[in-house]
Amino acid sequence: MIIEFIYFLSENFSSLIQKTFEHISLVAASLLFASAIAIPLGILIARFPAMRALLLKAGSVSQTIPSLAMLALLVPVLGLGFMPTIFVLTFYAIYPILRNTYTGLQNIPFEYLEAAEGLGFLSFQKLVYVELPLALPMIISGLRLATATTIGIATIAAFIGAGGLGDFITQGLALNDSNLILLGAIPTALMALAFDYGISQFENYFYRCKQKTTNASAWKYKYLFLGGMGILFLGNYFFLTPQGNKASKVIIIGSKNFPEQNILAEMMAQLIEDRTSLKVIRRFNLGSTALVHQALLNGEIDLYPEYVGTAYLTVLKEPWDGTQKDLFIKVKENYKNQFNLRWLASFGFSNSQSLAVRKDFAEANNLKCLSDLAPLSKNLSVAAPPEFLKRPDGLINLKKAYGFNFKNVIQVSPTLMYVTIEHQKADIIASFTTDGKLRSANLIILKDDKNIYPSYQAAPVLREVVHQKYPQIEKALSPIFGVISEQKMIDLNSQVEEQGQLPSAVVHKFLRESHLFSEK
Amino acid sequence: MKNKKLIELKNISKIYPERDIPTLDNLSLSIHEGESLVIIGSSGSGKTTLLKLLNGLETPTSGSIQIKGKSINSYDILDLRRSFFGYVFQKIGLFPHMTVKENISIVLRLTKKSPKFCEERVCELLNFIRLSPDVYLNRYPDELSGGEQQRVGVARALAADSECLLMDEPFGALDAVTRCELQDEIIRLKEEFKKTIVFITHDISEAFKLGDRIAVMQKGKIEQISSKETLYGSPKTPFVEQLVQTGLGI
Repeated sequence: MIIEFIYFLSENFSSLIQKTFEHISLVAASLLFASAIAIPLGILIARFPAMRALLLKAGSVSQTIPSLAMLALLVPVLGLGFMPTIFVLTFYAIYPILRNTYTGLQNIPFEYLEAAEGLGFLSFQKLVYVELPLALPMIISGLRLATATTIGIATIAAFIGAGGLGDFITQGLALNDSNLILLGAIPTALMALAFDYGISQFENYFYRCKQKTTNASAWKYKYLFLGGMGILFLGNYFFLTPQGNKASKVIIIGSKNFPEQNILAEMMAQLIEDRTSLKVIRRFNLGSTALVHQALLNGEIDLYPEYVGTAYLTVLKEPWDGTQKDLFIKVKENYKNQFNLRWLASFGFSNSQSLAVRKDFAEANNLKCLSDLAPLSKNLSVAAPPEFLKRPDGLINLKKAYGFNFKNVIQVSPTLMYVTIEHQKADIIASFTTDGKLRSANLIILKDDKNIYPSYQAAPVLREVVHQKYPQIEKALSPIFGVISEQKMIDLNSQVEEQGQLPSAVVHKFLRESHLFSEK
Repeated sequence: MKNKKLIELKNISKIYPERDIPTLDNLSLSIHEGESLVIIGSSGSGKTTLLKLLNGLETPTSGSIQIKGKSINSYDILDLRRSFFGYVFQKIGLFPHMTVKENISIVLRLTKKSPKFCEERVCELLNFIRLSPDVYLNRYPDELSGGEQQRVGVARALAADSECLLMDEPFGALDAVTRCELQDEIIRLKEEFKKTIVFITHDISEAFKLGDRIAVMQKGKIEQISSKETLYGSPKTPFVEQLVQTGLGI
């Protein structure tokens, strides 16, 4: 297990370094902002008691707000990526620094203040020469506290595409890969320890150069520290700027948070990288349809794979009773008119939805299609992801059409559904028809005999402006249009989900073996 | 020269609303140029308040303070504190995060003197208070003994070459030997630099040793102000008499 992990680590070492650097950048920038806000605010409330009680109370309450919830609420306002993440991290870092700045200033022995006044210091000079230096150890311990919190919370940045070590964790969760989760979690914990050690060393250094009575002024270390922070911040600026810079030839590809989306997005990315000179940025695992669609509308991503049925029902909220025809054409037209988004051609398969049961259970009860399941449903439990429970094309429609009345509905994450049914915690799961796990879990899909589901053909959705600007994208993707069958997709999915291979490796192998890379 | 008035307080009262009796009660006092005036009294007699009135850390409820014949209000109060008065505190109050050099030169640095000037001045003062600059320049206060700390405190008060030193029970916390040494330094300081010194103590023998004139304070009033001989020879009140005898007893 450990050896396997070390091997895994060495394989992913370069991306680990990159993610670590992103993580540090997020943390450093947030701490810088938080300090810039909290320290002056702390000074203000130490001087002027008016807002003190209110601010400190509000600060302590702020710490109880769940960070993920706050992030989700901010996305519509601030968009995806760097901005909302920095905002949230800064928000949580402010209070410990504020509290400690205030406490530090409050607890300065009176004799020093008296001396400063008696010697004729201006109020400002008293602050700079006496109060802040004496409160510094307290402020630094606030900074330590804030740093530990921020490093932890920064892992959520991955949910909205800001990078950092959280990327490994969300990927690991999406792919149910514990190695990936550890690859994110262990360095995060180590980083928290390292930062804490670093700051305490800085404190000691500061103290020791006092003890040694050398010529080195303690201030030098303060500048060193501030300089270090500054370099990190600048590094972060230069590091992230090319990614955010729309002027350079960059295309940002997004995906929802399940393996098939990862594979399709990665496939598009590799083809574009292979066949064009565009630089590709991957913002995978963004989350639900609504979030990814919103990101596309905001221009935070340029391209992602979507399913016709999902677009028709969830995004366009069109009616569906099983009789409508030509969904793909309607979706194409509506996306163009309403959103200025362009659908390219289908990849060739349809990933519809249905319910799956264990093979032995199906044989014992002679189940072939969903209609067969209806009479038994009141004794059965169903496990499904949250999206499936709420979406109009999910459980709601199924119940209506087939008259299901399940004993119990369990909400689980997509990757845990199979564990749930394997451990017999549920009898039925919601499943996609191309799901790679169906085979190994020994499940069979029950046929949607009443045709309540529309076609779920998968195809790339692209911003029209990007399509106009870079027509080469469509050309680069054309080799996979209509090429991927359902069977092929199940095969690719199963390589990722069951064999634990990385989507990038699976895609690369597929493209190479199918001779879809350009001949160079 | 002896009678030239440097500072004059007229009918000063200081009343804190939270106390029943006035801290200073219609008090008048002249401080002469070049003299050492020791103010002695028990705690709560108002002597520290009197000292703080002089450099504007407190303002009187009524009465007037004149410095060199002009009202204290006509001066820039920060300028007075930096350049006219030097203050030596009871609790010393050396800044713990600054070296001896930085502590002594802080007032010079506040008034933007050049680093070279500061360094020279600090060395001069360290030599005067008999602390070798080579050893002490870059030490921090917590590396000094109590006596050394207060020597530095005195040097800090002298840094801006102020005319008048205000000393608020500066040697109260020191042991007898160190205190005696430092008292000798003050006498030397007065003779060498001709500084005017206002010195607060509750120790009558210290008052006798240092004071050209001694003011005995009780309950916000000056009971008697005179030379030690007069104080001893003809005490005006029973309190003064008792105080003088306690002093002689030691």
